[in-house]
Amino acid sequence: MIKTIINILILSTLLFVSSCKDDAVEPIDSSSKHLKRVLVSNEGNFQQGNSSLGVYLPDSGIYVDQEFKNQNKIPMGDVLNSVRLIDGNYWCVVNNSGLIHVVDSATFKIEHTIMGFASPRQVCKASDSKVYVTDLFSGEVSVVSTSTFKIIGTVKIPGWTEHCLLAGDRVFVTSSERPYVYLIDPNDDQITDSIKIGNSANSMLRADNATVLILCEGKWGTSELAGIYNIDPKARQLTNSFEFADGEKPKLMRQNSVDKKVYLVNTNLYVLNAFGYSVDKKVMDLEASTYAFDIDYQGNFYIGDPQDFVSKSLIKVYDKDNFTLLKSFAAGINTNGFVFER
Amino acid sequence: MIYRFLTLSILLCSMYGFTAIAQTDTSYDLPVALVEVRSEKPYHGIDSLSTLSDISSLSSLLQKQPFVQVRANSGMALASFSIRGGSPEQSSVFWNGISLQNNTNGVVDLNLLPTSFFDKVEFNSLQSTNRGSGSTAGSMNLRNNKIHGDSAKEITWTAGSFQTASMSASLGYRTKHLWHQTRVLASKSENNYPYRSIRYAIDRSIDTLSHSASAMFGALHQTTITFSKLRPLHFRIWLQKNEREIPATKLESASRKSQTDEVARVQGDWSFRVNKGDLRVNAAWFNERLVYRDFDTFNYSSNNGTVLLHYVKPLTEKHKIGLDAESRVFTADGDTFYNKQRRELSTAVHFQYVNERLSINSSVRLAGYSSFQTSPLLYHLSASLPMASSWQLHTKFNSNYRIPTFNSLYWRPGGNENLIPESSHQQELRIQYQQRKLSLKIAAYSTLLTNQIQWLPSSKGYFEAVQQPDKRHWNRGVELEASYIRRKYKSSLQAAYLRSGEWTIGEDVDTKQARFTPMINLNHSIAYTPSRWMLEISNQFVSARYTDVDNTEQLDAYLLLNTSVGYRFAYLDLQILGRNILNTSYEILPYRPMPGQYFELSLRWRIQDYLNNTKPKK
Repeated sequence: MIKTIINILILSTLLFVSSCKDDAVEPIDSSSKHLKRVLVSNEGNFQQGNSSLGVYLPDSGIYVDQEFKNQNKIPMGDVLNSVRLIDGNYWCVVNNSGLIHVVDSATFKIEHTIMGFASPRQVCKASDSKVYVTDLFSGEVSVVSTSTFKIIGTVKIPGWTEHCLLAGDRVFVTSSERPYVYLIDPNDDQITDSIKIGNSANSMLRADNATVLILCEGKWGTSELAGIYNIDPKARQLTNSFEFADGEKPKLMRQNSVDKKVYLVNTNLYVLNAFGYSVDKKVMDLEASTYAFDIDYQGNFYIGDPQDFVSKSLIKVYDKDNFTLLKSFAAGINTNGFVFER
Repeated sequence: MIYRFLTLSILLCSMYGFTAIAQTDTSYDLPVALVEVRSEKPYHGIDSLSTLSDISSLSSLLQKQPFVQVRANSGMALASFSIRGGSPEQSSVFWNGISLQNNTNGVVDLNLLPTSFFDKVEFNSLQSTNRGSGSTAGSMNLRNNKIHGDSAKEITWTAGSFQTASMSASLGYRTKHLWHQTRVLASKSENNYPYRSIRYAIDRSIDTLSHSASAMFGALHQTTITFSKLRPLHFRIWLQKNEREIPATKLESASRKSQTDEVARVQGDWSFRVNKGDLRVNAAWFNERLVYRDFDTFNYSSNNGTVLLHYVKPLTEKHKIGLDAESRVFTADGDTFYNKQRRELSTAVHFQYVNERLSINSSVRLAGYSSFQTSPLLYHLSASLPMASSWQLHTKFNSNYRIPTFNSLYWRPGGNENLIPESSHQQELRIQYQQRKLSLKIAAYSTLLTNQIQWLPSSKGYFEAVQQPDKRHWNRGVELEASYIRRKYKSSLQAAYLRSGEWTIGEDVDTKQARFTPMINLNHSIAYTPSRWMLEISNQFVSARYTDVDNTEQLDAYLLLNTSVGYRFAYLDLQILGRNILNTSYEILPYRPMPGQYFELSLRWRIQDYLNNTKPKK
């Protein structure tokens, strides 16, 4: 009898243990191609305070609107300019509110709110202890500690700084007003190099974990040619460049992690031979203007149509192989970016 | 520094007041006034602005008016206004018939217009053919009465919540052929009122508005020169300086924005008898300067020069004809669009027919601009018909246009030099009932706007001025105004119902409401005036306003309760005002908190009565 009771207890314990769900956050599997969630950054309208962070669930096709507000009970702020995943947190840069919300990547609950910026634009991880923040107006890149979440320094760069990217042992920072990319040593926060490129840089990426590609639109309001500039981050030198035809104003350059090709929006969607310096071919006609474009881990294309810029954006997802429309959904106002979670 | 300057100004004004009362005063009858055929009786208006409260800015006074919508930011930052669903750029403001609209951005800031400088506010009193560019949705006219030799002399002091203080004075004096009146105003406020922060829903956080101080000093001088054989010449000089900090919105971590506004305005009018008709000349020169400080300092200046010639001649006993020739020049210099200039030349013809029962006005106007190929042609047709006793019917049809502002054309980046003028067509039908104790006015209107110009975000990353030729914007509504007087009680009700929306040509009319535009706006007040006392209680209801074009997000409706108690002493008026006494938390524009409970004590010394030893009737 006692033996029977002990067996039942052991069995029950085993059953209980096996049915327990681990409440800990699932680690992000960087090798997985299963797309769990897509964060949708909606910029909103300037001075209207209607920016938002939404979540699209590809498996169910459901878009959850205002997820940041749902979780925190406060609005995101005025003009959500960019969202980056850094050390397990999403850094939401709210441009016209002059702040950054650092939120837990699993719950979207605010962990920290960093204030004191003039007009922040983008963030990038500069080292294990620092994040750099570019700025539209302040004439400096802010240095934020990842332990205290406070501004601990600045790097003076004249004018509007926009994109930033850690490549090798330097942080690359583009200027929207000057034809240079600035290289900062994150150890002492000093500018060590400035490399001449085109005007009005609108995209920067690190292709194949090696070359830094910068897409420049050409000076706004002029007929200056757009171009792509390749920089070797180890040699810190311009290795090659390519100019587009007169009148072309490409933007939103992204690399597909599946086929490794580089794509950009130039009214329509083109695939680019960034190393052979030619626009290979148009891969898809875009019916409307494009304000957001990215490629998920499965190689599918996400296109954000802002419609009239005051209505909800229409997001269209296209198949990676034959560029047919897989699904579409309405997001927030002026979707400007996607972050893919796997 | 600014407060020292204000204190000195207040002291000087007080001294000025004491010297002015030594002047003797006699009244003169004005010569025959010019009969105009191009104005019409305003449907709504505020007759007397000799109010004890709200003397510093028209913004707080007009927020109680349901027929206009004041779009106020927090503190004393920009307060633009919208009439009948139009945008602030489509709702123009005139001062004695001359447009005050800023030619750089097309907006008039009500916080820069001191209530104590005007005698009357009229809504839609000017015919479209008289307004010129700008008022495609509607207009407001600020009027100064012609001064007399016996213009009242008085000084008013107020002190209110949030460290608010002001002093205004109106002083009249005369010589044999010169009648003068000077109004001065000095005011300041910290505007440091408490408000519910963005975290209120979580932890009941209350913040205090900061970086929101404001100060104003201004003077309006009017002179009438009388002649033995000619009609009097009137001219006015208006000088003003405002300093204000612009507070952060609820979504901003902090603000360092501030701005300084300086204006110098001169306006004069004179009429003559010419060939059995009346010729009126109205001329003005306005200069405005703005310094805006944020991460950098930006300077803007604009000038508006106007000369209007208006001739009216009776053709028969019942017919009149009017001819207009108007010339305007606009210049603007801004750090973001360099130096620009525009000239306008326009001409109009008016006809009026009036008999015992019927009044008909019609007019056309043709305008030409130095910077546009198009020449807008406007029409106006209105008729008034008395119906049964005490009832009157009035109807009008007109068109209007709005020239793109310099910012829309040349702002860098985002200006669009290919823009053409907006246009609108308006219809209105109103019925009025007037008896000794009861008056009732009901109006229904419709305004259709085409070729609207809007600032929209673009794929280039900045806002652009965009023409919308494939869209129509339709504002339509009903307005009601009623008042009833019984002995010492007066009850009045004003209500507006407004639908405003746009649709694409070829598609169904969209039923969505335009952003920030309330469908319902109500104001009700009861006043009791026993003997020398005055008691008034009023409440205002503004319905919810959508903040997005999809009509999914909205600002909550709000109800404000205001009250005032006054007593009239021999030569002094005393008033205690309570505004928003229920301490309602509300916003007119998203994330711009408005003040809660506000109390104000006002004291007015009627110097004129003191000098004449005139005591108020019981």
